[in-house]
Amino acid sequence: MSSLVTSNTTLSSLTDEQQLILNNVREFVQTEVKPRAPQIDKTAQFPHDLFKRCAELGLTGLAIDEEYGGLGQGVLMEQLVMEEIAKECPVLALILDAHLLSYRLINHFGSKEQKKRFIPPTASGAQITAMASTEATGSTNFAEQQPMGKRDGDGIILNGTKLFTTNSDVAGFYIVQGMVDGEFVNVIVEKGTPGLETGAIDHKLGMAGSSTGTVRFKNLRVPKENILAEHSDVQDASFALCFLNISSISIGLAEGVLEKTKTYLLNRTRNHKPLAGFQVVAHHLAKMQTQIELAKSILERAAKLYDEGRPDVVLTFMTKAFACEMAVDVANLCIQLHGAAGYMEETGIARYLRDAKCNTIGEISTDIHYDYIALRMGLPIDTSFPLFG
Amino acid sequence: MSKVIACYKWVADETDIKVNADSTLDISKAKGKISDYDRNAIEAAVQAAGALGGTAVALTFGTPKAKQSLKDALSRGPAEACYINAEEAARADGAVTAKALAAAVKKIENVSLVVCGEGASDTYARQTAPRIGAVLDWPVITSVSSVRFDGNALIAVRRLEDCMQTVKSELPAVIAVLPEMNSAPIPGLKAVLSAGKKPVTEFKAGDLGVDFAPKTTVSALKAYAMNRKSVIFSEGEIADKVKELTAALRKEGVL
Amino acid sequence: MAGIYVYSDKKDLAAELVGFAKGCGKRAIVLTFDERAAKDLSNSGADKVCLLKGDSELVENYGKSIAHLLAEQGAELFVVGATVSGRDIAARVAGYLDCAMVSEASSITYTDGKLVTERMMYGGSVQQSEVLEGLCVVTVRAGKFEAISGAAEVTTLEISADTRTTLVERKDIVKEGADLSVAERIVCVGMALDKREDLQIAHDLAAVLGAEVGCTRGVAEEKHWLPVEQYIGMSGAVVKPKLYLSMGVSGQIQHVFGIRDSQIIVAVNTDPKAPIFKAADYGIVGDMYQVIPLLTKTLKGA
Ligand SMILES: Cc1cc2nc3c(=O)[nH]c(=O)nc-3n(C[C@H](O)[C@H](O)[C@H](O)COP(=O)(O)OP(=O)(O)OC[C@H]3O[C@@H](n4cnc5c(N)ncnc54)[C@H](O)[C@@H]3O)c2cc1C
Ligand SMILES: Cc1cc2nc3c(=O)[nH]c(=O)nc-3n(C[C@H](O)[C@H](O)[C@H](O)COP(=O)(O)OP(=O)(O)OC[C@H]3O[C@@H](n4cnc5c(N)ncnc54)[C@H](O)[C@@H]3O)c2cc1C
Repeated sequence: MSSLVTSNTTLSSLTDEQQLILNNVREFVQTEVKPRAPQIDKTAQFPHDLFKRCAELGLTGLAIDEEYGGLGQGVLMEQLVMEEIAKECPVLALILDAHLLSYRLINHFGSKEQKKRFIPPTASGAQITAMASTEATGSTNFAEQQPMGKRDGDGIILNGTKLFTTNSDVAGFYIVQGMVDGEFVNVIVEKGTPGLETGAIDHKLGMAGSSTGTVRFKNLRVPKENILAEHSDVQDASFALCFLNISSISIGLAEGVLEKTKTYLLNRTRNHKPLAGFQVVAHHLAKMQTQIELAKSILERAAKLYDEGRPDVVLTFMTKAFACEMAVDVANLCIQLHGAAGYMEETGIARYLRDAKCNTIGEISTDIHYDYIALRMGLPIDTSFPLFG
Repeated sequence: MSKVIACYKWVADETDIKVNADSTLDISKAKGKISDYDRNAIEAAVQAAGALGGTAVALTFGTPKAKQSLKDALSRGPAEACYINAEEAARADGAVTAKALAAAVKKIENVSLVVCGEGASDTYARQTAPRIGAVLDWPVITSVSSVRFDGNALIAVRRLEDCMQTVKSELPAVIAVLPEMNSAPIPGLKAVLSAGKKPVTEFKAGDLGVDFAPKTTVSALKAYAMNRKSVIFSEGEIADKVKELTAALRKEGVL
Repeated sequence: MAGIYVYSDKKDLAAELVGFAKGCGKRAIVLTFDERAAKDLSNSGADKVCLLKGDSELVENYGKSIAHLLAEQGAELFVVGATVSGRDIAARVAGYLDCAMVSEASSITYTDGKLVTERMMYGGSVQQSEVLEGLCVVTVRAGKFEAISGAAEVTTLEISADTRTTLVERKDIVKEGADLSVAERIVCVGMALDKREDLQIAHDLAAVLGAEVGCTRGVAEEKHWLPVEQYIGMSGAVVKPKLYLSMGVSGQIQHVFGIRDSQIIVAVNTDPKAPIFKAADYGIVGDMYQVIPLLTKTLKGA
């Protein structure tokens, strides 16, 4: 996308290695991911082949500590890679995002032993992982959530159902979040544990190919070693980090669809002039480019603050809310600018809107992100669960 | 341990070359890249080093700009790199390039094999391997589709227009490999991150005792002008477009 | 003997190069390793045909000796047919002589006693002109010059070979397709092809056109759906048919390099911005899966 005015400028200058990593990821995306993307969307089959390639290339462990077999690259690098993948295949980026979300929870809540056991297979991609939190009562409606289990000696017996879990059908282990004896816990449930059932939802608006399904527990016993340290507060910023990944996916998605739209409008003519030269159209394109640039700027600032060890949680809420809504608007307008061609799946534009919509809902609805921003502004918001204080 | 050398060229990415209105070229904004087929050469050298129990060395002759290629080359598997850093590379022709590379091969010592790509993506002159062989007076095998080793012998399959030729040669030798030789995988990120830790030897032009005066003089460089009718049927029903096309081809008398 | 020395393992190409040498008003001396070719070339208008004899079956092994021969004889230019082994020998000779060499010149002329050449760079998007002085080497593809006729004396010369490389085996490539370089019409298939069976639509069109089927590199080298001899371009076949019709070919410069000498170029591609349209005389923006069968039907009906 060298023709984009954004030209991949970042505030922090990248090292040679980081630039090379991005070049290689770009090549991987262009040569291996791009040709598969329409097919994944159409067949809704989990792209095992591409996940494997991501693992081989090291993308599954990019930001994970070297101690656990990762590459120890910073948060910013992970964002740039997510963005690159999402330009052509948002769903592959989402699959990686869900995988990394689990890592972040283990890294945050886990003991040394748990990290040693579960993070290396996550980093190497030997196992795909999932995070199961959302319940039927609503993802953040903790006040009304049913207890998910009860203590049994030093273990926990789980009973209950989690919904909309990305990677549900393919995961080697799940980080399950929920209320146990009035406390919020995080536990690891491994595939094959008696009492575990999974099921994929086979038809959804977008992000086809990610297996978004139900995870059910019937008298499933979680041993002590699989219970992550019992924080009842989830206030730590390292969890909010997840919201940056989903934001990068939205940004990459918007860049991808805008680039395709620009190409189309430069070639589509009205009265022998390219549509892209009509001022109304040109301004639409310019405004979208500006919106993307704004989202990149806030994201980069948020990521950089993490890398510098002084994270700003509110900024991550803002990034998630802004970037994910922006991508829906961009994808929507791009279809409009394509006319009927945009409405047809064959053109390869429509799926971007369907995919974009996921991100204003997934990883906590945008409205709730605004709730927390409002709270931090000192507004008298009534939240049922003090996520991030 | 013997060394297997992969020669690669750092070239301007042809897709970034801009053509000015007067059909002169603007290469100044072009990004650099390892010449496409040289990626296969590097992979072939890494594999050959494995088979011979030696080490692979990436070797490039370039201007100071080519320095940025080293980590890229090293991330593709060689254990070390060697860089002839010379402004003269900008004007080098086939003769100068081969002499510079051959001089470095001599300096590196204990080299059992030199692997070149069949042709560079900028010049595609396909001279380098045979010329290096001539300068060193080593056996040369070009257009190589696959190789194997048997003791000190190299057995290569060459692709010619009408046949596949299997030839046998003694080491040390120089080969030029076709891209069909291997698939030159995208380097893993771990390899990229460790590339910077591998040793690099740098030679300056003066270290090699080579005459850097090119034998050819480039008198002009301009964009190739495509002179075609470019009548493109893009609007309307497919049936109509097909009709218009057949009518046009009939008129041209090529049916 | 001074003059232009000519070598090609393809005797027709050698004859064309003699035509070039004589056209420059120079003496033409043909080098060949093949007795039959020597006989045929004795009527090529050359001043002399040198049948070289030595004890290696690999012509490349004579590079060093040829270099000595040229230097000894005071050759002005060594012009070689650009085939795989021709290019190899040419570059070895240039290497041993430490002289200038231009590979695959698209044009070569003498101006004010100096040799002026043109050749393609960057896959064919750029044309480079060079000036050469003294004994130098140039390779040229087939079809650039006209052969002439006229009797020449044939002499035999013993020449020594570098025997470090030996021939183990030679296997003819079984040509599944026709020789594209002489085809009158070509249907060229690009990477847009979804699966191997879909080649049928190309074969169907080729059948009504009386055309051969060629392809881009990926179709042969990555997909292996057609033999490698069937791909067209800078690293493949260079063609010059009356009609070249491509389907689902983007028209990257390295491919276009191989089709430039076609009389009429036609492209079918879904992407109006595909570079192939700039290289084409006629084009249809559309899905080849719809356009090509319809075109076949229309041509059949006509
Ligand atoms: C493709 C996809 C993948 C997903 N993957 C996972 C996963 O891997 N793991 C997982 O645990 N979950 C996952 N989810 C679930 C996701 O996190 C939740 O759907 C999301 O957080 C919203 O929760 P909900 O669906 O329960 O909506 P509800 O809580 O029912 O809310 C519906 C809407 O009401 C509004 N709303 C709700 N509460 C408030 C409030 N307090 N203030 C203001 N407005 C409010 C918002 O507009 C909200 O969108 C995924 C969802 C999708 C679509
Ligand atoms: C040093 C070097 C040498 C090379 N030498 C050669 C060579 O000799 N020969 C060669 O061919 N390549 C060569 N290449 C590769 C070349 O650069 C291109 O990658 C290649 O030619 C592209 O092949 P393609 O057009 O089939 O595929 P693509 O570039 O993938 O193009 C496919 C085209 O099909 C169109 N399309 C898709 N679906 C449809 C449909 N349903 N109907 C119609 N159109 C459709 C697309 O819009 C696209 O334009 C070389 C590359 C390098 C670097």
